Amino acid sequence: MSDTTIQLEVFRYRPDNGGPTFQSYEVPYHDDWVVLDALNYVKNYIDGSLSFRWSCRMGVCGSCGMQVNGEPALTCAAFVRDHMPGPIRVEPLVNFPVERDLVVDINGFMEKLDHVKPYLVRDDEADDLSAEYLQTPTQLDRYKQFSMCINCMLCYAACPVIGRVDEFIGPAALALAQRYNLDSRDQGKNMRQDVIFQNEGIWECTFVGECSEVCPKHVDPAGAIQQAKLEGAVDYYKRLLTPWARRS
Amino acid sequence: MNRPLDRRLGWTWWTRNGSYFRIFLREATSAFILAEVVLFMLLLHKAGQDAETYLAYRDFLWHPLMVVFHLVALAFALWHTISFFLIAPNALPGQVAGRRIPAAFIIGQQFAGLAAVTLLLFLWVAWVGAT
Amino acid sequence: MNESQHDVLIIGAGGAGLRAAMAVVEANPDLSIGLVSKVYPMRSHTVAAEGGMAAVIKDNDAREHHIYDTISGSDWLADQDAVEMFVDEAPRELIQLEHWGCPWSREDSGHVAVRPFGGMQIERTWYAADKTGFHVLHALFQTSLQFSQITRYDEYFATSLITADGRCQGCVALELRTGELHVLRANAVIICTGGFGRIFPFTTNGSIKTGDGLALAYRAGVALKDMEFVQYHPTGLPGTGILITEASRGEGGILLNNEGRRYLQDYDLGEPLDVHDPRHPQNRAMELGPRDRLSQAFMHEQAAGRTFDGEYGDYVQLDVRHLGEERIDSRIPFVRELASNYAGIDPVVEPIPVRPVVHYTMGGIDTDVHGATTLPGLYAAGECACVSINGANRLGSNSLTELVVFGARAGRHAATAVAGQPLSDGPEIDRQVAAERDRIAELRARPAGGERIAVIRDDLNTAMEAGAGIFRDEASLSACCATLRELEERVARISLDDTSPVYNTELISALEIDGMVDISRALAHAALDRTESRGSHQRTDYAARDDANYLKHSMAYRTDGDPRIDYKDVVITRWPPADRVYGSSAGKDGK
Repeated sequence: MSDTTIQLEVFRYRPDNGGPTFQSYEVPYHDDWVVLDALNYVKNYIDGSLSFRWSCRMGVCGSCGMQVNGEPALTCAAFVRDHMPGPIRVEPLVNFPVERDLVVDINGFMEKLDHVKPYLVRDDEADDLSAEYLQTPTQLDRYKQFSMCINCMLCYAACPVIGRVDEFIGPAALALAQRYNLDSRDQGKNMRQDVIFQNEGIWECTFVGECSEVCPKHVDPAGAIQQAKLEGAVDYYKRLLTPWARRS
Repeated sequence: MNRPLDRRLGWTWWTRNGSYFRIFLREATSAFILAEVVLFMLLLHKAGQDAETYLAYRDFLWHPLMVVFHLVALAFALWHTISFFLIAPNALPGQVAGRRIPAAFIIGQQFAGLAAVTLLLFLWVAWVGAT
Repeated sequence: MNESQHDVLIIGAGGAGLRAAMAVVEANPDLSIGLVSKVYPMRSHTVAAEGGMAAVIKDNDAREHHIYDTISGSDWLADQDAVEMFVDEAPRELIQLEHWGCPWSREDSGHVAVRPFGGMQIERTWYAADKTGFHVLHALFQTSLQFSQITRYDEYFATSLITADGRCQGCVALELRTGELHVLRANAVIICTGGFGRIFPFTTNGSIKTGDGLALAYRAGVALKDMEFVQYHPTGLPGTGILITEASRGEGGILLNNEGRRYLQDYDLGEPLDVHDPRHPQNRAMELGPRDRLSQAFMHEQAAGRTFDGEYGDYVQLDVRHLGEERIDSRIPFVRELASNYAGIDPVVEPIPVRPVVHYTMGGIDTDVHGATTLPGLYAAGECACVSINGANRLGSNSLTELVVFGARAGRHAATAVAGQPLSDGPEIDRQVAAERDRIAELRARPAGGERIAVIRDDLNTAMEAGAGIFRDEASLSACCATLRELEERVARISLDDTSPVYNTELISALEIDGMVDISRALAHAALDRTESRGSHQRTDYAARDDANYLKHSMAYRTDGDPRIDYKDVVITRWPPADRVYGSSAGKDGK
C-alpha cells in the first residue's frame, strides 16, 4: 500500500434537496482498483449517502454503468490507474433521467425490451419436452454474438439518436430482436417486424457506430441493426417485384 | 418526491466528443457531393446550348477557387467512401454457406470493385477521346 | 400505505424465482403472480454462474451415476429421496430451458454438448461456453416477459413476512425508488433470494448475496438447516475473489504448487496423467475431485510452505496453457477475459494464480421436496433453501439445475395450495405492518455518530473467516459466536449518513447487515455443535466423520438469546453411508 491518493469528482443529485452538483472525494490509490472500488471506498468510509448500483463486480451483471471522464463505462472494469493522475469525474449514464446521484431510470429500456418480444416463438401446439431442438454450432454462431448483451445500457448512453428521439428502440433491444430473428429455433420473425421496421426501429439509426465502440461484451449492436436494415430492404424489393408471392 | 433529471444530449450532440464530430462531418460531406452533382447537371445543360455559353461555364469550373472546391469535394468523397467501405462488414450478415466471411475480405472486395470501375471509366474516356 | 394483492408472491427474481413464476403460470394461468426483487431480474447473481448445469442426457450416462455422484459429493448428508427426484426431473427442466432459447453449446450433430466437472464419474454438464448462468438467467427473464400474469416489483426490498392464522400471507417491501413501504398480500410466498456468501470477506458472490430471504424465514420461525456447510471453490482470483470456473479443469487445466508439482496426487485424489494423454482429465480424480477436498488440499499445501506468496495472500497456479489458444477461446473465453482484465494474466501464455474462495452456501431455509417450509404458505427454492440435495458439499454444476428443478416444484405446489384460501384481515396484520413501519422509521431517525455499516461488515467478515473458515475448532467457533453476539448489539446502534427517501441504498445495506449477523449466528452455533468433520465442515478437533451421531441435518431456530440447534435425520433410500473414494480406485457408483 502506498500513500498516493486520487481525487474523484462525483455527480451528486438529491431530488428532495436542490439541483445537481459535483462533490470531490480523496481516496487511496491502488493500481489494481477499479473505479467501482473507489466509489465503494467513499460509500463505506467517507460518505454513506452516495447512491449507486453494483453487484457482481466482474462485468456480467450490468449494474454499474456510469460516465467515467465523459465516456460510458462499466465501473467494475474501468481501472483507476488508466486515469492517473486524475481527477476522475464520475457521472450517471447520459440520455437517461437521473433519479439520484449515479442512479438512472432504466424503465424506458425495460419497456422497449418487452416490445421486441425477446423470446423464442414457436408454431408448435404443445411444447414437447422429450428432446431438445437441434441446432448446429454453425447455426448457433449466427446469433451467438448478439446473445451476449448484459443490458448494461452503455450503448444507450453512447447513442446520439437516443439523446434526441425518446421512442427509438435503441441498440441493445434491436440487437436482441436480431438475436432471436437469427436463431434457427425461432419462428416469430414476423411478429417482431412491426416493432423493428417502424420509424422508431432500425430506420432511426444513422450508423454512428458508437454503441459498438462502448459495448463491453463486443455485441456489435450497430452491426445487428445494419444487418436488419439490409434484410428489410431486400425483403421490401422482393415484395415490390413479386407482388404475387405471399409474404412468408 | 421523485424528480428525475433530464440529461439528454439534445441537438448539440455532435459537439460532445471527437468521434461524434467526425461522424457529423462525414454525414456533412454529402453536401459537397450534392454540389458537384448540381454543377455536373448544369454542365450538361450548358453543353446543349451554344459554344460560347458552354466555354464560359467550363472556364468558371476551372477557376482556381473552383478547383480548390473540387479537390475538397474529392477528398470528402474519398473519405466518405473509404469510411463506408470500412464499416460495411458490420452491416453484412456474417456467414456464407455456414462460414464466417473475414472483414478484410469484404473490405478488400469493395476497394477492388472501386479500382475496377475507376479503371474502366478511364479506359472508356481514353477510348472516346481517341476516336 | 400502498397495498397490492396476488395469488402467489415470489421474493427474488433470479433463476429459481423466474422458474417458479413460470411454473405457477403453467399450473394455473388464471393466477396472479407478484415478483419482488431488490435488483432488476437480469442483475440477479445467477448471472455469474459460469461452468454449467448437470443433467443426464447422454447414452453413456445413467440416473444412478448422477445420484451417486451427488450423494457421495454431499458426504452422505443429502436426502436421497430428494436427490432421486432432482436427478429424474433435471433433464426435462434443461430441455425446457433449451426450448426457452438458452444458447447451449452444441455437438456437430446439433445435440447439446456436455463436459466433465469435478466429482463426476461421467461428463454430464451442459454448458453455454463459460457463461452458462448468464445465458440461463437472460433466457428465463426474457421468456417471462410474455406472461401478463406476472407483475414485477423491480427494486423492491422485502423487509418482513406477514403471517396470520398460522399462514404466511405476504410481505412488507420497501420501494427503492420512492422509499415507500408496500404491503404485498398473497396466499403463498416463495423465497428465492439466493445464498449469503457475503458474510465472508473473500467470496465469488456479488454484493447482493446477503441472505435476506433466510433472515425473513428465520424471523418468521422457520428453521435454517445445515448452515455450517459453506463451500469454498478451489479456484478464485486472489484479491477480487473472481471465480475461475471448474470448467477450466473439466477442459484439462491442472493445479500446480510452487515446486511445479500437481500436488493433488498427495491427497488421495488419484495419480496424474500427462496433460497430453487422451485419457486426461480423468473423471472423479485429481483436478476433477470434489471442491471441498481440493480446497482443503490447498490449506495443507499452504501450511507446508508450498504455495506462492502474493500481494493478496498465498496462491497456487491453475495452468491451462496446454489447451491452446483456440480451445481456450471456444470453451472458456470468459476465463481468459477475467484473468486478463482482473489479474493481468493471459492464460494462453501464463498460469493463473488461484486460491480457495467462498462460493456457495449449502445451508438454508428448511424445506421439503416441494419447496414447502414448516410455515404453511411459505416456500423456498434455490440457494436460499436447503432441501437438501447438497448435504455437506455441493457437486459442481448441480446448483443451476437445482434452481430450475426446485423453483418449478415450489411454483407448482404453491399454485395448487393457494386455491380458495381467503386472505385474513384485521388487527393482527395491521399490527405487523405498523411494527415494520416503526422499525424502519426508528432506524432512519437515529442520530448521527452511531456505528458505521461498513465497519460492522468488515468485523463480521473477519470473524467468520477466522472462526468458521475452511478449518474450524471449538476455540475458533466459540470466539466467533461471542463476536457475533457483540455485533448484534452494535447493529442496533447503526446510524445512517443518508437522509433521502429516494434510492437510499444505505438504508438497504443497514437492513441487510441486520439479517446477515442474525443468520451468521445460526451458522456459527450449528458449526460449534457439530463435533465431527464432514464435507466442507472440517473440525481440526474432530477430524473424523461420525455417522453414529451426526448423520443428521442441523436445524437452527431463532430465539431471543443464542440460536437453538436441533437435528433431523437424513433420508437414506438405497445408498448407505460409505467412504468417499476419488481417484483411479473409484469404481462406478462406488461399487
